[in-house]
Amino acid sequence: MTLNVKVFRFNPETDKMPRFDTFKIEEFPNMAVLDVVMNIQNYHDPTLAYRCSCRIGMCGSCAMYINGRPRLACRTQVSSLGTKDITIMPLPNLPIIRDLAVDMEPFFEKYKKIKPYLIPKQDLKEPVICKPDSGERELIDYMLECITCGACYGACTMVATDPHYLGPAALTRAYCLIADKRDAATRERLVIVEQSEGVWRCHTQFNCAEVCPKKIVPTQAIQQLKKRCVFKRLGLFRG
Amino acid sequence: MAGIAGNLLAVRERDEMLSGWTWLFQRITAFFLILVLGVHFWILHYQNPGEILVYADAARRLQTALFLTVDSLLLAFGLFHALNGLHNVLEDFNVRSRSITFVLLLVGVGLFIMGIYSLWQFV
Repeated sequence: MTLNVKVFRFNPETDKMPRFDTFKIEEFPNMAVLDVVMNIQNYHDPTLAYRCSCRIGMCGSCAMYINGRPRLACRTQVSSLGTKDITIMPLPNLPIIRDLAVDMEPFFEKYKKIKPYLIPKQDLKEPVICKPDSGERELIDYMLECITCGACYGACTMVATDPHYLGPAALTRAYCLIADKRDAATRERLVIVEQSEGVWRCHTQFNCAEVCPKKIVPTQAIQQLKKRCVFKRLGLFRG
Repeated sequence: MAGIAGNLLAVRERDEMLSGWTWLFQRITAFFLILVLGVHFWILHYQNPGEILVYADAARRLQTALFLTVDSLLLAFGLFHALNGLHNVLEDFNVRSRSITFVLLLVGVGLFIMGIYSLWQFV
């Protein structure tokens, strides 16, 4: 079977306008979209720029806008698209470096703002154990699966309209740390996320959850953060 | 410069403080709007289904404490919810200015006074 593949092409340094190039690619069994992109680069156009690394859905570097939604190219089987016409574009809401490669800098700048690392409490004695059934870790266990691919960021309409909004990935990471009983910077992080460009911009549209390749629901984390921010203002937050 | 930066930071911090409270009141007013609108609809349309709505009946109803309270609350909650919603939409599009907040506040207070004045005519 032949695939009709439309690929977004744009070099901001030389091109005035973006364009789409069309390629005919022979499909093989269990073909992923990343195989399609590699095939184009190897046999049709070696100038095609894109980013990938692990090819098994661990690194999050091959997130692209495939047939109208952000997905990991390596984890998206061509057969799952249900069509032989494939359109591949770079991830939305991020500056384009070239073709399918986007600049992740704005995404990680916001990620850094919430201090995405554990700052342990001084009085804790290692090893600190949170039993899985204790409820102390709340919802954070599955949220730790985030691979920072930026698919949620690309799908978020709030990021699209407000470039200062922290975005779903950064807020989910902030929640993972704030809900962690071992963390000493809970209040400091809450002050960051309760800014007007923080949690209040989320309108619970669930676009982030729809596209997350790890099935994380950032909206859930953001709602938990909103609850904590209100509790903090009412003087009811103990963190 | 430090003074100006300090003042800007203070203004910003006040604005940040506001966004959490407005989020909470948006939810509270939403809850009461559903409640009060439910009461409003029930009394007007379902309590006496055969009744034809006429001005004289509406005027008589508005002379009762219950209707005055319900309609005043509906006015206050509705105005806050709508204008704060509009403020949120503007913020979503990164349109942020203290003068916009002030104008919306002024519109809200003005419309509330107009509404209360209109209701007061029936007392």
